[in-house]
This record gives sequence, C-alpha cells and structure tokens, in this order.
Amino acid sequence: MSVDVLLFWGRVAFLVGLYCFLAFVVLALTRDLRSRSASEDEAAPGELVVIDPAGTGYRPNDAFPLRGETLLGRAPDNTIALMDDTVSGHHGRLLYRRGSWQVEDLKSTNGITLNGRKVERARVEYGDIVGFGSVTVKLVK
Amino acid sequence: MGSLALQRRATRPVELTGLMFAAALVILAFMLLSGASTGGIQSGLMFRVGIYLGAALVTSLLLARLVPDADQLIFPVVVLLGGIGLVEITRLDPPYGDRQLLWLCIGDVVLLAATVWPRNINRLRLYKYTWAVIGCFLIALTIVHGSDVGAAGYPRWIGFGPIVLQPVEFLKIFMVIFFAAYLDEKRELLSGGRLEIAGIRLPPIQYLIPLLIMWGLSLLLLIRQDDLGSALLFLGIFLAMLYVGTSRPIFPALGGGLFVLGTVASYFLFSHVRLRTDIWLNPWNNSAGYQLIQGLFAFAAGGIGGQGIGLGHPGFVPVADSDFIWAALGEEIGLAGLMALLIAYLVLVYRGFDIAVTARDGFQKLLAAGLVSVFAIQAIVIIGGNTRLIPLTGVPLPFLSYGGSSIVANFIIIGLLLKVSQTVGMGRPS
Repeated sequence: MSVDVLLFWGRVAFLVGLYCFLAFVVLALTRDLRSRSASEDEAAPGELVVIDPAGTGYRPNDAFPLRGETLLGRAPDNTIALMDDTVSGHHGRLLYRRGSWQVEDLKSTNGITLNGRKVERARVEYGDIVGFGSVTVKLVK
Repeated sequence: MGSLALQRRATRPVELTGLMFAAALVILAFMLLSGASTGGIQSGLMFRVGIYLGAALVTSLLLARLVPDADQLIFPVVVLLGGIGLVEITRLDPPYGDRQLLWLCIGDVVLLAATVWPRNINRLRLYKYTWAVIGCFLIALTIVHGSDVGAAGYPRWIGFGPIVLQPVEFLKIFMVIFFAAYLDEKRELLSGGRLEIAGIRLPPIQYLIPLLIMWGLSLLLLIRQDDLGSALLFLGIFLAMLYVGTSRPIFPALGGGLFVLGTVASYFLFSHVRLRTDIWLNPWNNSAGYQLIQGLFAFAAGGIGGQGIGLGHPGFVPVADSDFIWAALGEEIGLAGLMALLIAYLVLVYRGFDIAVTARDGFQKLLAAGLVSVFAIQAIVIIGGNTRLIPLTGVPLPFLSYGGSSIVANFIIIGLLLKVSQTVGMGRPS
C-alpha cells in the first residue's frame, strides 16, 4: 500500500476514533447521572406545591420534587431554597420515614406551621399545608 | 505492608480508560503528521508524544492518590484537547511545539499542585480581598509597565527574566475566586431587593456598585487595551456568576444591556473599535481583514473531512498557532473534526456545571460555575471570532492554542474543579 492510501485511512480512523472517544465520555456521563438520580430519590413519594410564595420569587402552584430528606431554608445548600426574609438559613426539613412524612423545625427564627398551627416536629399527611415563615406549601402525592 | 498499601490505593478506572483512548488518538495524530511530512515514522515526533502522554499518565496515577474521589471524565478530555493542539502547533512551527510541550508538562504539575493546596478549598475565600488586590495590581502593572511581545498593538505581557507572562490569564482565576466569595456572602442582600425602578425590583443600590465597577473595568480594558476579548470574558464571567448566585435574570439582562450600550458608544468614540467592527462586517474591503479572510479560506479548504494533518496549508493564516488555531484545525481535520472538538468543550462545560450543581457549599458552587464559564466564554469568543460570527478578538482557545500563561492558568482551573468535585465524591464508583 502506498503512503497516500495509508494516510487516507489513518485520517478516517482518526475522525472515527474522535467520535468513539466522545461516545465513551457521553456514555460514562449518562451512566453516572442515572446512578446518582437513582440513589437520590429512593422511595420518597410526593411533591411540594407552592401556595403562598411570599418573597421567594416562585409562583403559586410551582411544584418541587422531594427527597427522602428534604432541607428547606434560605441558604443555597438546601434542597429547596426559599429566598424570603422570614425564612431562616436552614429553616426546617421534611423526612420520609417508614411510609410517612414528618416535618421538623431546625431552630428557625419564625418557626414552622402545620395547617396554621405552630409545630416543632409533626407528622404531615398529603394535603396538609406547611408554613415556613410566611411561605406556605402543600404536600401532595 | 505491601498488600495493605495496595488495598488502600484508590483506582480511577474510567479516567484510565478515557486516557488510553485519548492517548491512542494523539499517537495516531502524530503518526499522520509524521507520515505526511516524511512518508515514514519520525522518532523525534514519537519521542515528543511519548513525553506528553507519559506526563499525563503519571498525573492520572498521582490524582488517584491525591484526589481519588474527584471527577474522572474531565482529565481525559483535557489530555485529548491538549494533544491535538500540540500536534497542530508542532506541525505549524516545531520550536513552538516544543515549548508548548514544556508548558503542558508544567500544566500537569500545577494541576496536581492545585489539588494539594489549599487542603480545604474553602480557605480560598478567607483571602478574597487579597485575590482582588493582586488581580487589580496585575492589570495596572500591565497597562503601565507591560511590553508588546506578541505584537498585539498594546502591551499585554510582562517579562520576568526569560519568562514572559500574560497576566490577564491569571487575573481571571483571581477574579472568579473573589466573585465566588463576595457573592456567596452578599447573596441574600443581592437577591432580596425592595428598591423598585420602572416595575423592576432592584437590590439596594450599594450592592450594585461592584456590578458598575466591573462594567467600567471591562470597558476600560476594551478602550485602553483594545482587548474586547478580555472585556467580554470578565463581564461574562461576572454576569454568569451573579445569575448563578442570585437566580435573578435581571442582572445578566441589565449588565449585558449596559455592555451593549458601552460598545455602541465606543464604536462612535474610538477609531480602533470602529476598525474592528468594520473588519468584521466587511473584511474584503479592508486591508486589515487579511487575517480573517485567510482564516475563512482555511475553513473552506478543509471542507467536511479536512485536508489531513500536515497536508493543508494553514501556515498562510497569520498567527495560526494561537488566535487562529481553530481555522488551522479546520483546514486539517475539517468540519467533522471541529464538531468533535466542539462536543469535547461541551462535555467539559457540562461536567463543570454538573460539579457546581452537586457541590454542597455556596462558595464552591459559585467557584465551579465561574471557572467553567471561563472556558465556555473563551471558546465562544475566539471560535466566533475565527468564523466571523462576532468581531474578532484575540483570546486563546483553552488547551488548543499556543501560550504558556494560558495553558498554566487553564490547568490550575482544572485542578480547582477536580478539587471541588472531590469534596462531593463525583468520581466515586457507584
């Protein structure tokens, strides 16, 4: 085979190889994403629907998926960030334990309400309205 | 003791596989270059590729010791991009190729250094004003005392004995660290906002001052240094981070609008800005449009499959090894090759934002998002400039372009990204 023919096939192999490399990287990316999302939403049925967004900038009826442990507050490392002046940095959390949801106040300034009543820690049923400061949300299935 | 050490040693299988893949491609590219120039395999070229890939392999093995849980996909992509750049620069200008090889090896060292120090990445935020002051000092020093090594028409380089550095490249890292620390601290104040002007909720005016300072600084770069590339880069990074930190689209809209106003005004006020725009709109009517037109011819000559590495004539494009490397590559590996490289950048940027999303701490989120925006914006600015999508401005294309400062700075960024991903265990096998 002449050098020119070899170079031609080498060029083809290089381009094909480039795309194979990218396919490998993208496959690894998607595999990684899938395994991470699988470990994050281990059996945490339900979502939070915004009732009163207060100063958060969300709109009523915005819905948020829940994790087995969902942190709510004004700081950016929360699962759901509520950027309102009446919400503390780490305001509270929702826990899914043995088939039911609980809400827990993490020593917030303005407290948590469950259907209008102030609570420290309480069981939440689907349809209940939970308030974090002046922000209120509803737990739905 | 040996078996214990073996058990404890973490492996990074995905990174290693990706690295082998990238190594095979870089070796093939060097073989094609060697075959095209002499019809055989040149031992000199193979020796150089051996050094490059050897250094990358050692770096990967050390990463497994230093940051075993860090992301495993970024480094192979960087090695591929760096290798293809090295092939093209060696092909265009062998002495520059050798220097690039040296810089890439130094890059591996600084990457490892950035994953070791600081031990806790959050310590960077403690010195945020120090970074900002160093950054401003660098800019001032370049304007007052710089030299014009690369014949850009304005001083952008500073010499330290035999080494000549481009401070702007390091400035971007200092700025990202400073912004990340500042925005994380002032986030609530910035996103709260009760001041209303024309129905738009604005944050208290004193917190807008940094925004205005950045706007002024980027315009200063544009007018004083004729460095539209850096101006766009800094403003872009700042606005991207401001948006990530506050999730208020009003900031990028406002900042982008101000920048457009500023550039339109400087078009009418300053002749060099006008010249640049005229070249972009109509390079054929303009003697200064030569470089851009040669670049366009290079893309056309490359077509879809390219002329083949070492077989085109990218040497006709002025500064083909740095600002116009995209055009040179377009001629040699064609549209198909360029698209692959574009996807490689996309993967890099996607992965960087993925790290930002996964990071637990506000400072680290902003840091990762800002650092990866640097790559994204630089790639847009220079690829857009080469292809006449936006007015041409000289910024290096990350990892592909020739340039010591740019290579070293970009490897520091990769090191910091790996460090952030280590804290959340992105690369841990699941």
